Amino acid sequence: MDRQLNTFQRIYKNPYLQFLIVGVLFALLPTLRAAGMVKAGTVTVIGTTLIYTIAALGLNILLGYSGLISLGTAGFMGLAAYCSAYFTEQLALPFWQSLILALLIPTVLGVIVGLLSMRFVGIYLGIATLAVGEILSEIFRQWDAFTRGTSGARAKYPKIFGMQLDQTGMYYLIVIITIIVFILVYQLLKGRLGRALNAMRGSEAAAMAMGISVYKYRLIAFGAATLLASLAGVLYVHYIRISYPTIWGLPLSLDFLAIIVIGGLRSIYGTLVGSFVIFAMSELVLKQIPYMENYSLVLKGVLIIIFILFYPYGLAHVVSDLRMRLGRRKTKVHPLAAKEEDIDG
Amino acid sequence: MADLMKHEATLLDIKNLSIAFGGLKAVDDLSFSINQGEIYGLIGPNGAGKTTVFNCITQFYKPDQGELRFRNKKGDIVSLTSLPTYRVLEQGIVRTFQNVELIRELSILDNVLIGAHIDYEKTTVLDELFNTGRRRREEKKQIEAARRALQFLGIDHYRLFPAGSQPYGIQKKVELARTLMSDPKLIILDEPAAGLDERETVELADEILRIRKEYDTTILLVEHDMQLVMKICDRISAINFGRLLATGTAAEIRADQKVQEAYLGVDA
Ligand SMILES: Nc1ncnc2c1ncn2[C@@H]1O[C@H](COP(=O)(O)OP(=O)(O)OP(=O)(O)O)[C@@H](O)[C@H]1O
Ligand SMILES: [Mg+2]
Repeated sequence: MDRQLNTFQRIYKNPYLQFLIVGVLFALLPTLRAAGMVKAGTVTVIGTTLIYTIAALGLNILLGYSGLISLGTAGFMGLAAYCSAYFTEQLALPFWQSLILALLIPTVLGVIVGLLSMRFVGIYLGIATLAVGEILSEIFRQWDAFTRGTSGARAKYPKIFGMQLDQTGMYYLIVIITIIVFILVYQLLKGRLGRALNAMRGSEAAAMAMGISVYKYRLIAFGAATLLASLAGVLYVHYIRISYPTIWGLPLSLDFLAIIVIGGLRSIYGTLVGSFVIFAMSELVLKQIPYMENYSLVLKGVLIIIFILFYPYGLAHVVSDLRMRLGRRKTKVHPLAAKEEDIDG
Repeated sequence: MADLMKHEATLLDIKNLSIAFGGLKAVDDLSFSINQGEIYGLIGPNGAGKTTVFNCITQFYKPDQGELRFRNKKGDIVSLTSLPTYRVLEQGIVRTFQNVELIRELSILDNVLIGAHIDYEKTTVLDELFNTGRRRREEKKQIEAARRALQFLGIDHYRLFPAGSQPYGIQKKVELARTLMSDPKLIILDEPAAGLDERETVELADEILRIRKEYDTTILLVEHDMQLVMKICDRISAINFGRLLATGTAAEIRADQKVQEAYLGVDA
């Protein structure tokens, strides 16, 4: 049945091409703004939403694939943001050097949390990571020399390859990095490693019996999740150009969780859609409607409950589910089912 | 001590194995050994300690006492108790579970591919991240092997369905197919016929015999279906309350006084 795809289907079903098209669509935004079709603020909101998507994708590796919860995502993202601001501004390091350090420091910390996590299961892991996040958040508030406290740590648009980026340039950089992250995450998880993480979540007994070191893959999952949260933090601080301690608390970590629940476990596009629902919707839609802004929190809560109750696999799986109910497909092939044509290509 | 393992033919030697949970001796001073190429049955009434023996062999439990020695893939004799659980597979021992352990959300093909996890050692995380040619070749090779295993058991056409959506009989076959992926020397099956109907059980007997032949391996199984056990097992050990009652061929076990009292007597 896989062999009967026509040329057109072969092209649009190619995951790499899909990622590229999504990237091009996002890259069109500044042009639309220049033509007066969208507001400048909209571009910033969407750029920020993409940044949050990257961090949420990290959490999806942890929660969706590996079945490990973290309520510390915002703390790690904030740590990377402050590191990058500190290294580029206070220490005047070039952007690339600062980037490497700002990715490395939180990731090492994340792996250490992963090490400690071997002792915790389920809800206790949630509490442990919550504690780490809150400790980080407290450090951001207290350690003025590093974070500039409540007045906020400032950062600039970066200079890369000898080119000084402006706001639009930074937006393009975010789009490019987002698409690269999509492709790399897709490649990383579609094979052996993805299956090992899935096994760890689906049946730890099966994982161990099949030679999978739960220890090793837990560390990989925590490492990957913090690395992506850190990357998001660095992009954030050089796009918004300021970081306040209040941003990096539990509410943001819970938002990341909501993205995955609403968008879809183990789905890249689901994570993207979820980020738009959680971050862009309240900014772009709700704020336009009088009084609604105050209810965005309530709306989020209601959405989460609806999805947990009716669509536990999130928006990403709603489409295939509806199709099945409408009888357009007699059998349901799971989105995660291995596609053999991927391998040939 | 090493007397039994001196025999070239001995694959697994279990000696004076004991494990207790609280006051309960689940396995009590149990000894038997399995030869290469055998289909070996372990029988006993409910709660006799059969699954516990399997869990000790595969290091899901660490026995209180006793020795578990195994002639591994390289031909070396290893003491299994010195290994962490996840390193038992690489020695050449693979198992199924009494309550099927599959990853429900993954496709059947992916579930079988998990059985090939240790076969991928040549590819690194970086190979995966950048989807190198080496990774693609390796993946292709493993998918072919997985499909061969699925074809062998006649369920290849279901391969893209999520494992959790399949009937029990299919799920059991998926678990069986998964064991074939790691080039095992010893396959341990915990009640492979449980939940299968009569036709499926007959099919299973045939499949187990074919697996031994085509995958050139040894099989240790726990099973309550006496017809199946008597039909395919070369030798059988019967246990009760964790203790060995008798070891022998199907005919010898059937004729054994103690087995009849403790075990077959329950049925009759
Ligand atoms: N992890 C454990 N903790 C406590 N008791 C256990 C544990 N595992 C097994 N037991 C006990 O050990 C005894 C043997 O159990 P086991 O599962 O090995 O029996 P079995 O022969 O496989 O039975 P069945 O045919 O019903 O599968 C039982 O009394 C059981 O309750
Ligand atoms: Mg049992």
